[in-house]
Amino acid sequence: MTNRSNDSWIADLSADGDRRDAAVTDLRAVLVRGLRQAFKTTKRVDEAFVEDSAQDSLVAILAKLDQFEGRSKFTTWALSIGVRTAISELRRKRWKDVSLADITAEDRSEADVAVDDTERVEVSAEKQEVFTSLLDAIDKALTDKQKFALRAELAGVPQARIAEDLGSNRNAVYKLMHDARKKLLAALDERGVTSETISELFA
Amino acid sequence: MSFTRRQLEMLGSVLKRTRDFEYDCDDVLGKLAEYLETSADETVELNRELLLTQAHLEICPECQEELEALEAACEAVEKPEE
Repeated sequence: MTNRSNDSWIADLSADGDRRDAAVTDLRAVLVRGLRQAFKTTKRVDEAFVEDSAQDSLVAILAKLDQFEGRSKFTTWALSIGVRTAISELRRKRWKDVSLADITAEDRSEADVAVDDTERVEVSAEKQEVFTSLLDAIDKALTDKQKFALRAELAGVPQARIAEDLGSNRNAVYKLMHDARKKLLAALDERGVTSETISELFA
Repeated sequence: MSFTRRQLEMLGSVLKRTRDFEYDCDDVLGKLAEYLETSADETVELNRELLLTQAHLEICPECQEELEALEAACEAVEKPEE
């Protein structure tokens, strides 16, 4: 494989004919090698998955070439797109048959919010008060969409899967939850729980 | 609405790190390669964009997982071929 500088990668991949073909072949090899190693211990990942992910990544990278700013090695940048492509597909497969309605159903009582005996009693009591305020803030300050997304996120559901149910995308879910967190902080403050208290109580 | 204690602990931890302005996952994807290479060098101070990337990584387990996978992928590519 040819050792290329960042400028050479861009020039070769933007060229025509054999020059471009050789660069595409080399980039594909980089992606296969990197993805194979990154997911070597991941269940459900075989050589076919690595090859398919490399191909899908290649298409995405070539479409984004003009977005490469040269602030890292070109191969690192390309692999960042490859990794996201592969992980997104793994997450999609893992969660595609899972019903979020079941996960987000309110089938647990508030007794689940228990005091952890391993903590100092006074901290636990204070934290318990914060938990009570937090539950009230969630109930009163968040929209139904935000409550659904929060419950799913805290259950470990990937944002892209949440987005599917909301008819949205991963980035929009992140923004939805960022807005939710800001609302919760404001609502907690109104209930006497300051950001300083939150900083002291949580890891 | 009810949550387990562990979930509320997670939420508290994320609230602690919540800022008015945050990078989203797409912003971070555009910076992840630069962040990985720059943060590996302890003598280099992170610029504002990379600090925002770092702050996002602290509260987004999905992007954190992608960073770890990227690190492994880059190590494999940097190693001489056998």
